[in-house]
Amino acid sequence: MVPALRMAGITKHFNGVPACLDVDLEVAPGEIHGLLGQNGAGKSTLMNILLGLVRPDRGEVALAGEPAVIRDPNAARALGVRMVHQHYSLIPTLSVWENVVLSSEGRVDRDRTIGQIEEVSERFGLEVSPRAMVGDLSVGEQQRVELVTCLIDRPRLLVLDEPTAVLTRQESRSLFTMLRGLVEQEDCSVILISHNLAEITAVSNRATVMRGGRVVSRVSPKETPVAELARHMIGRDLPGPAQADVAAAIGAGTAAEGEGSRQARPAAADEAPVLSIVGATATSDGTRALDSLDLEIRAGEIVGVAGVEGNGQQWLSALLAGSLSLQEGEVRVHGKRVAVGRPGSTRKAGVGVVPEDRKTSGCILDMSVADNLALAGLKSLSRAGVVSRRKLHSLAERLVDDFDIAVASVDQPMRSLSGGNQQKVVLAREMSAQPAVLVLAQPTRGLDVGAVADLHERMRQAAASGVAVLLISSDLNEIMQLSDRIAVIYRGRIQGELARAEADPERLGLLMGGVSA
Amino acid sequence: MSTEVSETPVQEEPTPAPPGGGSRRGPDAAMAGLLASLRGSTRPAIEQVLAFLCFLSLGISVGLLLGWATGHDPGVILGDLFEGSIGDSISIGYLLTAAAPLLLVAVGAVICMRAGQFNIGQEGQVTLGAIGAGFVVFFVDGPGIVVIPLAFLAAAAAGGAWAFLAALLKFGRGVDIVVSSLLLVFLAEQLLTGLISGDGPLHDKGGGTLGAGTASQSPRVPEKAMLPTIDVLGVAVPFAFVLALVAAILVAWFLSSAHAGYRLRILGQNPTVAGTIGISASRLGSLAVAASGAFAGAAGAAILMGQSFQLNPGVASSIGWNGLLIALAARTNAGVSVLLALVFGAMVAGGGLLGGDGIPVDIVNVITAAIVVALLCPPVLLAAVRRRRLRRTVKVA
Repeated sequence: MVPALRMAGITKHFNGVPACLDVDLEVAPGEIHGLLGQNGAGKSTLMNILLGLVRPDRGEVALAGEPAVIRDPNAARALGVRMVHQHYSLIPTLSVWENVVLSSEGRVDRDRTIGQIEEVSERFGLEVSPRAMVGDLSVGEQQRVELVTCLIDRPRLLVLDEPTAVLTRQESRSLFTMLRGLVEQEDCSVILISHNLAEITAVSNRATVMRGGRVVSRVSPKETPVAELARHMIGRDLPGPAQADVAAAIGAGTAAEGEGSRQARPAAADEAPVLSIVGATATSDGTRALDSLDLEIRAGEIVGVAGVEGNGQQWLSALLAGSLSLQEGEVRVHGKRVAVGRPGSTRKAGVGVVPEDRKTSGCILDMSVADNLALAGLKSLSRAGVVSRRKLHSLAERLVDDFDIAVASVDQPMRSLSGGNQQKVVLAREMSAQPAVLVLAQPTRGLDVGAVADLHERMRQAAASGVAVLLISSDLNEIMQLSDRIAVIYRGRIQGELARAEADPERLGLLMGGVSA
Repeated sequence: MSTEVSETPVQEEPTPAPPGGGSRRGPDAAMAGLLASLRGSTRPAIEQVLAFLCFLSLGISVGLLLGWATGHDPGVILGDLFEGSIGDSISIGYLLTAAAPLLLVAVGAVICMRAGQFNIGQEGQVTLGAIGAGFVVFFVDGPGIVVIPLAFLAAAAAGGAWAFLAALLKFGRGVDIVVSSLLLVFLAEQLLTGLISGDGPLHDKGGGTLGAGTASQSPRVPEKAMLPTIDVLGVAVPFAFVLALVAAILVAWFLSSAHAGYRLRILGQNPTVAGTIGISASRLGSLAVAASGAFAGAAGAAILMGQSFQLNPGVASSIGWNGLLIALAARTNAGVSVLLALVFGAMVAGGGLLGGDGIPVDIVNVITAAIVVALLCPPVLLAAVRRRRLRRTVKVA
């Protein structure tokens, strides 16, 4: 049988870094094909190539046996390839039919479009009212609008990126019923990108597992144990705590110190936690942000929060930065309840946050390095309401020295610093406030090897000095190297916790895929 | 080797917008972008000064050219403008009188723009200020030394309250402040008209002034409430200008050195970071908006007691708009605002002489507009040049 899609030898590098290496993907007509992998496995790049958003360095694409050159999304659409992205591309202030018209060609014909929408929504049982305003719809309804937009064109191949991440269980079930109908009756194939193992097992005929830009296995999920899928996804070679950090290699700290000091202080389980989050539940813009999340950290402990991105990590970090209010649950620091959601509440309680997007929420790019270092402690630097420039400068000079920040002058604008140095400024500021809890969200993203090693060493030092450290990262290597305990976050809740010694690829993979280990 | 710039890495799984940033949509966001682009290159550079002078003369030339096209001698226009603004000590007095309320408005606008609050309703706040001052001037009996400060206070309170309404709507109900502050301008004008006509408490019921009893206008300001002047080297410097200058200096200092000024700038530069260090956007933001309204209100008092000496519809006479324009063209810098207010004042004062030579005063508006465009052009142009340079270096690499 001629495959509906054949991608062969797809290779793509970004600035010399491989995103896809010699990837082969084959999708049979009328099948739901699962595409499985962690962040950075190359799934998105592969799909962007299929959609014509990215051009491959090498490799061929053939649709139904015909070689295809897909230069842009329009070409992809003409060939019958459509995709529902994880973040919808709908315009909230327009109605459903107007949004549908946007992705079509030719004259705007309201009645015809509404007719088409009604026809498609009836055929697939996708309830959509064409005249409704998109902004008023729930996330599930918005997804149906995206689906209808794609299905009107009668695609041959439909790609869905994490379609159930934001859906309720009920909505997910009806989505899958619809997808089954689609592949059985309409001669359409579906590629389903997901990290939910149970889901892949339940609906897909075959699955391709990717890791580090390569295809690691092709399986029939229904005949493969979930645990094996998890192992494929994570890989076998998780770094253990004993593995030497780069820090040692480049001399940012001696190996003996790096290893010894961490082992020296295993937090006693009966010790009172410094930070405790109990049943934290919150929504944002109508979607679930946190779902009864529980987490505790003790002094001197590094707890790693692992998980596939988009499972609530950014909300956890927002909660601890004091910018997310809870509907249920509470946050306590040293046993004292914090009024989260109020500006500066958590900082006052002794929580320092190095946020994930340091450029937008960690620092002020148009202010000087000195100003950025002093941001949080301005009050202590001023007398009678006037900021002392002398004190501000001496503080900045001291922190620049202590944290080895490479600047020509502390008056230099923050914008002119490298990513690693910007990160150091944020870290220096948070550390200088002597926090009880230090939260670092994706702290090493975009940093070079030296900067990463330095940051890791500083985290270890912070923990050794009694700070409770929370490391939120989607880099499993980082989590494994640093954490005493690993909590896996899945859809806004902690799916499970593992001591570092218990953490193996299978257990982590299962938890990250939403299966209780 | 030449590589394509478009080949930037596509991020895996883009993360959603940062939480806590709030929804920045609509005119507010558009203004934020505009302001950011204005702030972009305040770095003094020789190319920037050259570009500025270039565009300044270009702006003046365009105005003169228009005058010439309508049959007026550009030499006469230019001569009148110079003569009427800096020709002699009396002209300089006119210039400063015109510049004072403009500067007050601009200084206020600088405060709220720096805090990231896009109050653009200064015209209405000036009107309210004039009303507030009017109530004091026409109803409080006392010596000038009591009435004048009281009138300024009332004006600032009225203007501040009017602006605060817009802030309340923004932080309480999520109404875009660009829209609300703008619409409040028209409400203010209606309010003024109501107060000075018919049975309104500020209506001129007859006191020997032209149109008394019928026209929508207030009585004339009594002599004791007219703003004094201070003699400096033979120039009668109006009190309002001194006040505005002091205000500009204080605000410049406040923004650069005071703890509260720092917090204001942090809020304006990055509301997300501001939130994490305990700055409440709604509290500090509405304070900044109210402060800007208070300054605009004070400008209203300066107009009533220093220029118009009477309330009539349109007493604000676009001073609110122009003051806002000055703040924006000065890229929210209080010091530069002083210079620009003087240029604007010169145009107003110099424009007075044009009528005598049979030249329409509208030419002045054209020249002013051209100057504003000239001031806004350099950063945009420089950004474009910089972008092109960057692209070239990327291509070479």
